[in-house]
Amino acid sequence: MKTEQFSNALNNINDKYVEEAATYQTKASTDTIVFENEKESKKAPKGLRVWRAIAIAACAVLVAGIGLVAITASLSMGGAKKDAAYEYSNEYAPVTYEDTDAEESYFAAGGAANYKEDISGDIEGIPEAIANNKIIYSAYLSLETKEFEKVSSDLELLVNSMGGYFEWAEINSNSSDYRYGSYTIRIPAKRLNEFLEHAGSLCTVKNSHKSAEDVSEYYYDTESRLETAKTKLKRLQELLAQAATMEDIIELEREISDTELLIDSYTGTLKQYDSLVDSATISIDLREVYRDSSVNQPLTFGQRISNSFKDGLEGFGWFVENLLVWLASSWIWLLIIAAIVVVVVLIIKKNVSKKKNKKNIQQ
Amino acid sequence: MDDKKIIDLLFERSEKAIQELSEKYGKLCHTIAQNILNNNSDAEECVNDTYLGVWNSIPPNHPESLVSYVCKIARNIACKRYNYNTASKRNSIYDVALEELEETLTSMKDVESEIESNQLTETIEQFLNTLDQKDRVIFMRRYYFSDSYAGISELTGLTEKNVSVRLTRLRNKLKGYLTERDYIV
Repeated sequence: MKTEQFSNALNNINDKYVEEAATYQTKASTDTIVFENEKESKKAPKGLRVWRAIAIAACAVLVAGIGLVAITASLSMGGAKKDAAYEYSNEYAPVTYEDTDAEESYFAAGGAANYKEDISGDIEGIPEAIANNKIIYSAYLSLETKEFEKVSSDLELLVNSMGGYFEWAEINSNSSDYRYGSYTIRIPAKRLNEFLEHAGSLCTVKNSHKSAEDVSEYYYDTESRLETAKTKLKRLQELLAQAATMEDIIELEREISDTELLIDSYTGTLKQYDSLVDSATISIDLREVYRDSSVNQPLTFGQRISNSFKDGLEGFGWFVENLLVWLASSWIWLLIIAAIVVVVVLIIKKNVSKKKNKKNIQQ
Repeated sequence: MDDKKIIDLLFERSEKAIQELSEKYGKLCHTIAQNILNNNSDAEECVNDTYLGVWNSIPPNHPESLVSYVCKIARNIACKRYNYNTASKRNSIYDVALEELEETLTSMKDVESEIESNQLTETIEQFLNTLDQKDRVIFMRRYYFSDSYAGISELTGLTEKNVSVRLTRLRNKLKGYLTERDYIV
């Protein structure tokens, strides 16, 4: 492609891009001004700065004190009560999907509320505001199970019952023969929450996240372009009916075929978006494990210590086991390396003794 | 002055419009022309031609965004001037004669290349839609306004090195995007 061609294409580019780039300067400089003002206002008098430092130090001491008291309290309770700090840790807490109405909540999982706030700042207003928006939903689940076969067949049943299908399914096993499956599933967007709720109840959810991409602007742009192209085609066909000279007919037919191509391309794009909007895409990673990491109740401090001790021991056991397996699988290489080392050592020794002999003779 | 008022003045055929246009967008037009031509007097001429272009085309045109309308005219004039300045073939009388003849021929090739160019424009717009605002601005400032790395760095608050890295990534991304859509890059 020639640069000239590219430059010509850029000349006809939509006004909004040119405007955005041309007016960006103003925005940036306004930001800078604000920033400079902020900087100026941040320069507090010296006395105030000292007081601020003292206040920060006092806060730090207070936080440390509260932390110390909390630890002592949890120790003295002997693990009878829940560990407050641990209660909010998501790492091992099982994710449960609340039974919520799709109209009221897009996502039932914990992170969903934050997402809603991110995009609108007004949870109540969402359904009405985005009723006509074209939104592509996608989700990711990382699952763990001890009964791999049962869960994978349940998953298949669940997908079929929801009217969805597997776009991709792959099952592999790692060196220790535990299996893991990767699936890409398409589910009608309306049933996404229902699906996630059921999938969450099949096994342990280690990790989950969801996203929504709003493609309304591009979708409706394409739709209006399609309408324009259709009108153009109609007009061209009318002109063709009236055309008198061969030259006109050829040119008009060429234009018509180009416009038809454009219409096909726009229709294709719209269909693709419709499919993406109608069906949510869910990626699932399913791992087979020997020990379920889900815990129904938050652990006490004592239990956590004992679990960590066990984990450490098990981890070491795994390491030794894997080391032995590796040694067994690579014994030929080890033998070759050992032989090379022996040869090299022998050669060095021989050289050293030769030199010593020479020295002795010279002496 | 508000863009809408400037357009109203142009519709009223008031010469004050040109004065306002020059105050508001004179510097921007000059930067665009200067970046393309690298010659101050040529750039000045382009800016004046831009005002003339705006004066002659509004009315009948009523642009929604005056800034992009002015930028487009300035860039078009500067590009034409650049091609004129750099066309070595003008040395040959034969070529000049051919060029004269070219203007009288309405060739199908023009229609074809215009459609191709329109399709390419649409593809570039689709590509720009996939970028975030900062990358989009960097791309447009570099390849539409022909700004220098230093200029973009000043505008966006990024370092020159960062701008250069971002542009390299954008070019690679664009290359992939165009190749996917069967443009021979």
